[in-house]
Amino acid sequence: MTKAAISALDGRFASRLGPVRSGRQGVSGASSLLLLPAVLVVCFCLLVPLAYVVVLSFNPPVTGEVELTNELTLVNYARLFLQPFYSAILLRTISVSAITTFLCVGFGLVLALSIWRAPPRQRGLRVIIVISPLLVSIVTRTYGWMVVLGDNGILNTLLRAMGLIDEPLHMMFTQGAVIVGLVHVFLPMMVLSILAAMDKIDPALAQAAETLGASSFVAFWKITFPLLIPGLTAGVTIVFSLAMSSYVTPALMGGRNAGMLTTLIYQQFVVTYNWHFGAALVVVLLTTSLIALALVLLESGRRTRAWLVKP
Amino acid sequence: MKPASELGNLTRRDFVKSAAGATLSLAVVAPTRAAAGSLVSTVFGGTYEREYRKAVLDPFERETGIKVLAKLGVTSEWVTNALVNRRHPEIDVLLLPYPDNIKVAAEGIAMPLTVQDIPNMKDVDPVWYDQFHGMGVALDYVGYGIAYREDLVPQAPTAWKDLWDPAFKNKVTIPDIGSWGSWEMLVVAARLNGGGEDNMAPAFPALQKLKPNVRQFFKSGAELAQLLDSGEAWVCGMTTNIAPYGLIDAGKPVKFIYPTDGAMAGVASYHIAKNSPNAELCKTFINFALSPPVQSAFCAGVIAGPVNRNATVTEKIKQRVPPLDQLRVFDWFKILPQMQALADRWNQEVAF
Repeated sequence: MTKAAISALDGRFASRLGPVRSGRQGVSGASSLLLLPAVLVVCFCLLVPLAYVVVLSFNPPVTGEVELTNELTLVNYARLFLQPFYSAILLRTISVSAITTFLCVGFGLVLALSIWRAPPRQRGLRVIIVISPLLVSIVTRTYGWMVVLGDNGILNTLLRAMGLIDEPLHMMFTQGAVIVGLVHVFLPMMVLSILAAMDKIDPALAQAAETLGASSFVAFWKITFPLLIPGLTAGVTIVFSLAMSSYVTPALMGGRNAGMLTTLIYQQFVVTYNWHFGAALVVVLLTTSLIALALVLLESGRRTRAWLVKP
Repeated sequence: MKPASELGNLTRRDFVKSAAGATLSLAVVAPTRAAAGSLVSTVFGGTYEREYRKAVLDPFERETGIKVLAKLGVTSEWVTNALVNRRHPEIDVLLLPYPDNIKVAAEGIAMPLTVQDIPNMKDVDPVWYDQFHGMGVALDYVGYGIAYREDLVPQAPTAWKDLWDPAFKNKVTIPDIGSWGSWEMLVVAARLNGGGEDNMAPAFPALQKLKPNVRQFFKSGAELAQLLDSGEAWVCGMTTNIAPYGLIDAGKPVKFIYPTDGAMAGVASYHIAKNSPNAELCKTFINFALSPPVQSAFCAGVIAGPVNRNATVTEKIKQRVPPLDQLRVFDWFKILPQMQALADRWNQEVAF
């Protein structure tokens, strides 16, 4: 299962940066018909609803009305951009996602290295440990974190026993708790992406660098790391977009002053029934994510162009 | 009102049953509806569903032969369904809590109900249908009060204003906007500070003042139970009896009280979709649910107050649900148009 997951991730990454490598071959004639079912599914399940939401966001807000009208207006976007509140929440959402991604890259590199260098017999076990957060439901995970981070939790009890604090530190239901929760669940995606890239690196390369006098850090930084960029790009893309659109973890682990844009979107659709404004929030969230990801992909392409192209 | 806590009690088997039921009802609704005489209604999951089937649905089907397809789900999903399909409703009778029931009444998708249509309404206090402007009638009610950990609080809260007590710093939990009890919380905060449904502005400075006490804005009965159980929160500022008694009956040191300045009301109410082709069947159904024996049996099962004054009230209900004269009912029709603005102010000044 893990191998399949890795190769699937690898495939996803390859298709994203792939055109440079395999674009010339093309898909011809009858075989392109094989694409039809997939194209239809994507169109009807993704593009059509998305287009609907985009149009909805340009309709005047009428509570409880979902039918599209010809009357186009920018009033939803005006509300969104003229009130500094919404920009502030958007910025918070971006920064929480960015910090989550950054931490995932750091921990992911270490974990992937430990799996890569592990003896073959231990490899499967380590992979299973890394993906274990995905096997536990979000509610259970949150409760688990309460046991650790809560006022009467393990961490507070420990700190108190050591005499470092008198009053418990309130760690649950904060911005920090949200980031901890997000890193916990998204880390496996990062590790698997990086691992897929690592498995394609010839270990002799780093050894050769060290033979020629590089320290092991320089060998990693100058030789191994650049070769990991495609894997990192895949991981960053996945983790960042998942973090931007996460709803349950911020809702359960965040508290006062820790709301994200998704919380507001949920409210518009479920509490106040202002679907038009909700749609505008969706469009802004999506656009922001796409812009951020485009920047990542561009930068990654620039860095790997020299060697990713095959003759 | 109920489902908040019911979520916590929803077992895997219930879920599988309801999921299977939902799928089945989708498949069966259209063909059987016209032929055998059937209607589609909604029901909250968990204990509520079990008692509702036992005391209302099963006896009704036995006595009348009319089939009731009970649709499980989330209230906002039912309301969305009713709004989107208002011309050709998929749901004939909506059973809804606040504020969803007010919403369907205000949106004009519910038909007016009168004593002529539903004879048992003569024994129902007018407060249980007047508040919907006649476009609906309550089935049962509960009270909103304060729950707290007896063993952890320095002193027991007795009135709403006690939530602001600095002794509870970082240890109070109140409902997040849109969760059950949230609008009631806003009204209480406004009323304590010289406001009310017509003047909600005083609620916000009050809630800002409450904020240092707030540990978390809870989103469901399950979350609230978790917060109290773990001791993350000592006091829950606005909850029905259901979640706290779930803990109390499990032997936890929790106490649930109705504040001396009055409990807030929570109801589940019936609303018939205006364009339903089965309106007559729906009226028969609601009349049945409001009859004294059904009211007595159902309310004893879910531990709620009956709306029919001839229904018997068990000791347990008397202990856990306040009598009508201790309930504070407010004009939801005044709150409804303000909800968007109130939610905005809540987001910007209190929660985020």
